[in-house]
Amino acid sequence: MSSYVLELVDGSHDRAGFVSGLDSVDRYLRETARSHMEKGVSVTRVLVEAEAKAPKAVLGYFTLSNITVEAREWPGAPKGLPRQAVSAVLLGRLAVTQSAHGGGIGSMLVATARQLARETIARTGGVGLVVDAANEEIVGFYARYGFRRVSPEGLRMFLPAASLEGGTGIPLD
Amino acid sequence: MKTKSNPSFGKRGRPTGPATKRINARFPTGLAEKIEYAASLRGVAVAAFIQEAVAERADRVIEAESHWQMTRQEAANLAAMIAKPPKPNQTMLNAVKLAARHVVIRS
Repeated sequence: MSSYVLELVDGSHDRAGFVSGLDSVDRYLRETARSHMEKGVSVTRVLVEAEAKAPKAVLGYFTLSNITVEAREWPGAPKGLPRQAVSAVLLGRLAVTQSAHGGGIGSMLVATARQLARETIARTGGVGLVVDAANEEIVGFYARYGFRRVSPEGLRMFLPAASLEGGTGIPLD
Repeated sequence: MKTKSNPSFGKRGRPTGPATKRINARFPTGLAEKIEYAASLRGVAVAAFIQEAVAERADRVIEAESHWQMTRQEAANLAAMIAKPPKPNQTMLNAVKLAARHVVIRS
């Protein structure tokens, strides 16, 4: 019996009760996530206890969307990147509610986001998983899972598609 | 493509046309005075000054989440990672194992 369920955000989730400690991500879940789902901007999934009843407490969430990645043609441009714009999966936000910090929820969210990104790329193509860290501390969090910065000072990080392979499959309902 | 699918977001900068929609925002006194001063330096109305600045910022935010025009250095780093993808590390494999044991994905 699984302890947690990852599901699409909807009206049964207590979005107002979600407090991660970072106001922008709390507000996104509360005010924007559902409208972005309806408009096709991005998809937000929340982690809840398997036995939770509405209003379900949200332990953590993440948002995935598509991003177009484009490199200009420079003289001596690096090999290995297609010349045309390509797509990637963007993990725009990932947050854990304060009461669940340190309980492995963040790890499980990263792992499930990775699997969903891999499935998307397997179906429709893509160069990898892009992550926007909110600040330097969160850069450190993603670095532990192998994400690497794409520029020395920026908060954008990346994991190529081939690095998303490997490990046990997380079951689908 | 989220920005391109929405015609009202399609245009960069401050769209032309009549200004009919009101966005209410309160400003701290110091900031309001600064904005008024900056607008007077440019010789434009305060509303026009705010609209232009906000439109620029909005473009950057919207584009950051849908389109990534890489710098040369970013492209070089990305190409290097794609050419030599790192194997999943132990932390990631542990996270996957934990999730496989405790999480069910419902779609």
